[in-house]
Amino acid sequence: MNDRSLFDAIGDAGFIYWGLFVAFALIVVAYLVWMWRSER
Amino acid sequence: MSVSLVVFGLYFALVFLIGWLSLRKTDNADDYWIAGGELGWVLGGATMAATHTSAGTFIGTIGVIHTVGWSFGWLILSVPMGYFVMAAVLAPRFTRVRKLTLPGFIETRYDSKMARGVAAVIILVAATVYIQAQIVAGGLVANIVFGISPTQGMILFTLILLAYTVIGGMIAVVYTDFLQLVIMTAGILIAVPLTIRHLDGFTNLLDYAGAMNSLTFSWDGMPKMLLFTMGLAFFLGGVATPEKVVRLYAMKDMRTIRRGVLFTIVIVTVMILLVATVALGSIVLFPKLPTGDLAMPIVARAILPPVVGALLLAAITSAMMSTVDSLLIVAGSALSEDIYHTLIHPEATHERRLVVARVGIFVVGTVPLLMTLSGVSDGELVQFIVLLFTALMASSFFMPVIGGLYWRRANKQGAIAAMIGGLTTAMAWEALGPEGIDPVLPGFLVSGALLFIVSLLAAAPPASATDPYFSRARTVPES
Repeated sequence: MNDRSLFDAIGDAGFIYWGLFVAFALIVVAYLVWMWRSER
Repeated sequence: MSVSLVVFGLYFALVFLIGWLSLRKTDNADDYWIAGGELGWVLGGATMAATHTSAGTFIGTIGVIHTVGWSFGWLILSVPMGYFVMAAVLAPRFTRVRKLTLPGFIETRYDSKMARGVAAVIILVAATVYIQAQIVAGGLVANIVFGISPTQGMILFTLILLAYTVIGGMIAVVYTDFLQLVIMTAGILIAVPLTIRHLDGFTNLLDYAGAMNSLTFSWDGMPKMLLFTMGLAFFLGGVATPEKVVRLYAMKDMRTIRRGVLFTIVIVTVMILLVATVALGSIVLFPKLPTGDLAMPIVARAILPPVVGALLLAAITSAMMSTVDSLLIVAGSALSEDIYHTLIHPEATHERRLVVARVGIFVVGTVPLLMTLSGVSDGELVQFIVLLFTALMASSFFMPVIGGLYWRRANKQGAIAAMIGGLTTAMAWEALGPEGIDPVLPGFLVSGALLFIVSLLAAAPPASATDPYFSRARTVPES
C-alpha cells in the first residue's frame, strides 16, 4: 500500500512544475471540444 | 549600448510609421475606437494577446516567481480559464448589440446614461493605477538599456506612447500590437533556450533552481488563500475587463471570436510559461536582487548575447506599450464617448469628439506619470500593481456585465450599486483589510449581492433594453 498521502504527492516538486503544463493542455483540449461543438 | 540603440531605434521608427499610416485609414469613430469592427481572428487574437501581455508578464511574473517560487506560476491557469468563459459565456450575448465601449454596453443593457457615466469614471480611476505599473517598469528598462535615470525613462516612454496612440487610435494600436506581439514572441523564444544552455541544460536548470531556494518548488511561497484569491482576481478580470471585451466588438463575428480567443489563450499562456522558465534561471544566476522586478532586465543584459538581450528588452518594452496604448484608448473613449458625448454634449460633432478623445488620452497618460514621479507606488512589485487593477476591474464590472447578460431582472439601480459598491469595497480592503486575501473576493461578493438585492428592490428594466440580449436575433452575424 502506498503510505504517501495525496497531499504529499501533490507537494512533489515534479507535480508542482509539470502539473501546470498538463493542466493547461487539458484546458486547451476542453476549449477545442467546445469550439467544435459550437460550430458543428 | 550601440546594439540596443539600433534595435530600439528600429522598433520605435516602425511604431511611428504604423501610427502615421493608421491616421490615414481612420475615417470615423468606429475606426478610431474599434478598428471598424472588421478584424479577423489573427489580428483580433493578436491584439487581445498583446494587450494582455504587459509589464506584468515580462517584469512582474518573473519578479514574483523569483521572490516566492513556482507556486505563483499556477495563477497562469486563470488566464486560459478566464478567456474560455469570455468566449463561451460572455461573448455570445455581449456582441448581440455592437457598441464602441464597455460603458456603451452598460448604457444599452441598463437603459441608463448615469450607469454609463459611472462605468466610465471607474475605468478612468483603474486605468490610472494600471498605467502607473507599466510606467514604473518602463523606467527600469530605459535605465538598463540607455543608461538614463528611471525618471527620464518614464517620461520618454510615456511621450512615445502618447504620440502614436493620440494620432492613430485603435487602428494604430491593433497594428502596433501585432508588431509588438511578434517582437515579444521572438524575444522570449530566443531567450529561453539560451538561458537553459547557459545553465547546462533543462534538468540542471530545475535542479539548481530547487536547490538554491527551498520555496522554488513548494506550495509555501505565499499563503494559499492569498494565492487562490489572486487567481480569482485574474480569472474574473480576464472575463470582463474593458480593454479586452471591447476587442470582441472589434472582431467581425462569433466564429472569428472563437478562433481569436483560442489564439490569445495559446500565445499568452505559452509566453507566460516561457517567461516563468526564465524566472527559474534568474533564481539560479541572480539569487539576491534588490527587487524581483529587476530579474528579467538583468538576465537580458548579463547572460544573453547583445542582440538577443536588446531584442528581449525591446520585447519587454513592447509588452508594456501594447497594454498601455489599449488602456489609453479605453480611457480616452470613456472620456470622449461615455462622459463628454453622452452626458455633457450629445450634439457634439464627430470631429469635436475626436479632439476631446485625443486631449483625453493625453491627460490620462500624463496623470499616472505625474503620480509615479511623485512616488505614489514606490516599492511595489509591478505585478502587485497589475493585480490591484485587475481586482478593481473585476469587482466593478464582472457582476454587472455577466448578471446583465443572464438575469433579465437586473436593472440600472442594481448595476450602479454593484459597480460603486464593488470598487469601493475592493479599494477599502486594499487599504485597510487584512493581508492574506486579495481585495477581489470581498469586492466581487459585495458587487454580486448589491446587484441582486438592489435590482429586486427597484422596478424591472424596460423590455426594450433587455430584449436585444435575451432574444435570438443578432446584430453581429454568427459567421
